[in-house]
Amino acid sequence: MGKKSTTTPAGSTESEGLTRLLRQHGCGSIQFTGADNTLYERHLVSDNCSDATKEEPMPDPSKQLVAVFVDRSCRQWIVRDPEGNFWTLPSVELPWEKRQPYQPTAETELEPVPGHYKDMLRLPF
Amino acid sequence: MTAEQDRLDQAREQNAPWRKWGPYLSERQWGTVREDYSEGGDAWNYFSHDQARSRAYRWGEDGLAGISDDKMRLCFALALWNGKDPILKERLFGLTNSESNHGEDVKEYYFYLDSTPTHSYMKYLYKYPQAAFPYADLVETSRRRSRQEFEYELVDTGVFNEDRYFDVFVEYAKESPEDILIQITVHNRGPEAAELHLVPTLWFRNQWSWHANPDRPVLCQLEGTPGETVAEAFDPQLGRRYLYCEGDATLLFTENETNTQRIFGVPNRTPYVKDSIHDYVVSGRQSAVNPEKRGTKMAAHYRLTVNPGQSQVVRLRLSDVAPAALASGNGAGVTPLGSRFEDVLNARRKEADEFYASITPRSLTPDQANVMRQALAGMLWSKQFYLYDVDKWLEERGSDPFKATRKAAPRNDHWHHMYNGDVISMPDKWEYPWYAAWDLAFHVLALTLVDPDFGKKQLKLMLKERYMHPNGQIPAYEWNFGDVNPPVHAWSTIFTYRLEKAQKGEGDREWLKSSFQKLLLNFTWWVNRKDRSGRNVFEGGFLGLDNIGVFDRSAPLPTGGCLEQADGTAWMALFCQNMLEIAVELASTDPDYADMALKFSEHFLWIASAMSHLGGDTGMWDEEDGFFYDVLRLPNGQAQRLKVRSMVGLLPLCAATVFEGTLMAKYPEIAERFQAFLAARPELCAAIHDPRKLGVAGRRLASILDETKLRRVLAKMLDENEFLSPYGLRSLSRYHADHPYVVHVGGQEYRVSYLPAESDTGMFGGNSNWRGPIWMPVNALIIRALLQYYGYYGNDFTVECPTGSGRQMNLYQVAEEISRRLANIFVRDSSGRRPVYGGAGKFQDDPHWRDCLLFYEYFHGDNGAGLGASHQTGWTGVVARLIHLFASLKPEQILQGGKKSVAEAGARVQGAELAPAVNTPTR
Repeated sequence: MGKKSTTTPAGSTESEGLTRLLRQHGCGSIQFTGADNTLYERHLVSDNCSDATKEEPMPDPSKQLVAVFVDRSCRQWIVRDPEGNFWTLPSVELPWEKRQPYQPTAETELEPVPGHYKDMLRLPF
Repeated sequence: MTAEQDRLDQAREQNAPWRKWGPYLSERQWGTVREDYSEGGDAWNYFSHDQARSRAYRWGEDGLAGISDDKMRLCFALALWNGKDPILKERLFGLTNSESNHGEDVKEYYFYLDSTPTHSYMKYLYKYPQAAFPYADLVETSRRRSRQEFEYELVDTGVFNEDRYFDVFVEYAKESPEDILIQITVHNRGPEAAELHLVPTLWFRNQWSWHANPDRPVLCQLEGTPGETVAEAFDPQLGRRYLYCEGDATLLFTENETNTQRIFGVPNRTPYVKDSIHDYVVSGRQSAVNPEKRGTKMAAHYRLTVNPGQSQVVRLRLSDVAPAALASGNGAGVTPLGSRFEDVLNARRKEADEFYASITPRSLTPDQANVMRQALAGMLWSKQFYLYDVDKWLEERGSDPFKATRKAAPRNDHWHHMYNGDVISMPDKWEYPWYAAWDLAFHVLALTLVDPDFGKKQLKLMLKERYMHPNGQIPAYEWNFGDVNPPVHAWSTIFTYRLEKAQKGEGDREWLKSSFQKLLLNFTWWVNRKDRSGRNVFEGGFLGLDNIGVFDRSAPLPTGGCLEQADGTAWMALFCQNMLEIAVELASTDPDYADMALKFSEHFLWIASAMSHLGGDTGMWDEEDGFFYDVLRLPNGQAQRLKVRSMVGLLPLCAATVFEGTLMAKYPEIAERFQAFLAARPELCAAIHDPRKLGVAGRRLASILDETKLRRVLAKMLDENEFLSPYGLRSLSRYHADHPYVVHVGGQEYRVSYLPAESDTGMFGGNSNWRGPIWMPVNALIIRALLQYYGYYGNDFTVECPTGSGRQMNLYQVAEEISRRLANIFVRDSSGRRPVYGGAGKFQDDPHWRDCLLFYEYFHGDNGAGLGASHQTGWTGVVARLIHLFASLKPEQILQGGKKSVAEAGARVQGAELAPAVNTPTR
């Protein structure tokens, strides 16, 4: 499947508006992004939940989760908190209390660590 | 009554915790789905064997010859070092699925020699090379081998040449449910003296790291007495335990926590981590272990030098009795490892012999009795504590099913209702250290020979709400709980019920009723999910028979359309019969079940008829060949039988059950309704066995096959050029050796040829092959069916067996013949060889190997050599039941007593007189 169509005729007339409506509700070909949520996208388009003229990337849910990583270059635990902020944690008894702000860069390689290590690190969330 | 039987009774009637401690450690926890937190679900590579010594497990533990309590809080296992290996031997090594040319495979030699059902006595043998263990050679050589070559085994590396190895026997004996004697005997089989570091290890499973408010257990050294060293283990829930170690052993302490430096590159919070004992022993790093002598993992370090041909013994004791209590309770001078130790150990050995003598038919030869005993030992050793909280696991992966922001999980996304935390019988604790639903049904068949209570609990477990999906599906296995296994649970349930009824005079009706309710949910799931057209013809995917089809039956067909499966439909026909049996039994006292009995009578007929009638002339029965096949229904409406002569086509024969007619006699209105149903639909019975026809002793038979079809299928099944091998029934007819079945679709060739040994493709992982080899469970089902047919047809129904031999047999004799051939896989033949060991000289000839038995997953279709997983006493343990059955049963008992006589024979216990001495390997 290809990407969603972004075509919208300029200077729309009533007939052009009807054409657009028919196209919006699946009475013609509608392109979807081809992800697992394809059928859901159809609902978003058809029910005016999202603008068919705009390309809106699907939100990456993994970027909104609390997560633990390791940055091997600095040998530290890295935590992303519920607000999406990053912190480094030292290897001490109560590491969250000794956290420092951390800003990953484009070159940063963060290696995911299993979620149960949150408890090992005594994270408060 | 034997002492062991008394312990079983105490466990049932008094809740005595005899089974609390047992061999519940896995042989492999690394590389499992539970420990996999990778994005893509690459379980084999995410948590590797190399990481296992350094990385704390989340959901379980593994160890060599290990035991634990039934919640796996406290674990004990063996560790060894020969002075040459790069690592401490703490767990069994093997190749992952992608490393081996025939799928995952353990590369060790270990044997489950003995166990009683309460684990009051257990014995395990591990063969440890004195040279460096050839880890790299095994990996590299296997990588170079193709699928057309044999697997590269440990013995092939030469590491056992000149017998330079240790035989390490571990025996456990319970003085009481909480007091366990441990004796480790090390034999040097080599020509020169050799040193061995013996490192028995005690540790707590790490639960404290993974919970918000953990209770942390502790191990510490206590002051010992002359002749022993003592460690105390304390867990808030388990209480206190003591490990008494013989002699002035050095006790080493560390924490069962991840070496984060090694695994993640992050400095360790504590210097004492999971691999510290390895570091101390192998690298000599004294500072690796805690000088304060406390932690959550400890080991006793013994350095033994064993002379050639000699042995040394080390004793330990894991007990809830404190040192002070031991001394005061037993009088001055009594030690936990003193003379009483020997007395108790000898007593438990003797009681194990007595127990097995009581269940072993006296007509068996010593070798047959040894096969039976080791098969049952393997069943009992293959119990494992299995912990998997799927909801928690999904949450930890960022796939919390109830959060809007979640990642998709690579598997088991829809099984978040599951909380598994029980001791379960595993198929094979290295290759398959997870339960599989249909395997378990067969395990119970063997387990109930020694522990019917445990067998019942296993069946009930799968139906509990913590296992069974709310929609009624029974979980398949952790790789994909949503996969579809053949529905054999009901059959195992009614078998187990009848066994108990024969033993005790009455069955557990409450257990049967509650099982029936849950099985009804499962039946309805099948009917609603796997009958695509609503015409009583079933799909199901590969349904446990992996690569048996010409197409991958679990994937979209390359032709499009769908597959009407002869095996899937036959399974459902059998499921109906089993549910009918249960309903009939319950209706004998409860009229509410009479209606359900009628329901399943009718439903069976719908399904059975569909196998022959559906689609006009394209049903599953092929009149020309006299055999059943899957039917491919193409999108354009055309249909075609896929003419592969396989176990798929034999399974309809298995859907046969004989009835005594008690229901119809007790409920005349049910009989009337049934007769009216049949009279209104004469076409239903036109192509199947007519259930109105009476057989021997007025019995009725529910069967897909009428007599004509039965004879035609048996002619192929008993043909040695087709299914009948010297060692049982093949999964694919040998006909396809010279006549492969070939289909061309979309320019690609799909072929099924007879392959008697390992698979030649990677389909389904490549570690299993249903295109020829002999598989015990389906053979057992066919034997069951033959006995059912015999109970109906009697002695007058004979067939040529083998086909073309001129020798006529009744169906009892045919069943017995197949069972004999299966048992012959393991029993020494006239030349002294055991077919299971094929051409492996050491296993055939060496006195320290030849009587130690491995129960493989499946067997070569021509020569009976063992293939696949090597400790699958899971369902291969059924051979013990078959050996027992035909030594206990006589054909006239079936003719007179019907199928209950099979249960009576199965429940038979010998008198108190000991059977002939069993030939077990050197103690």
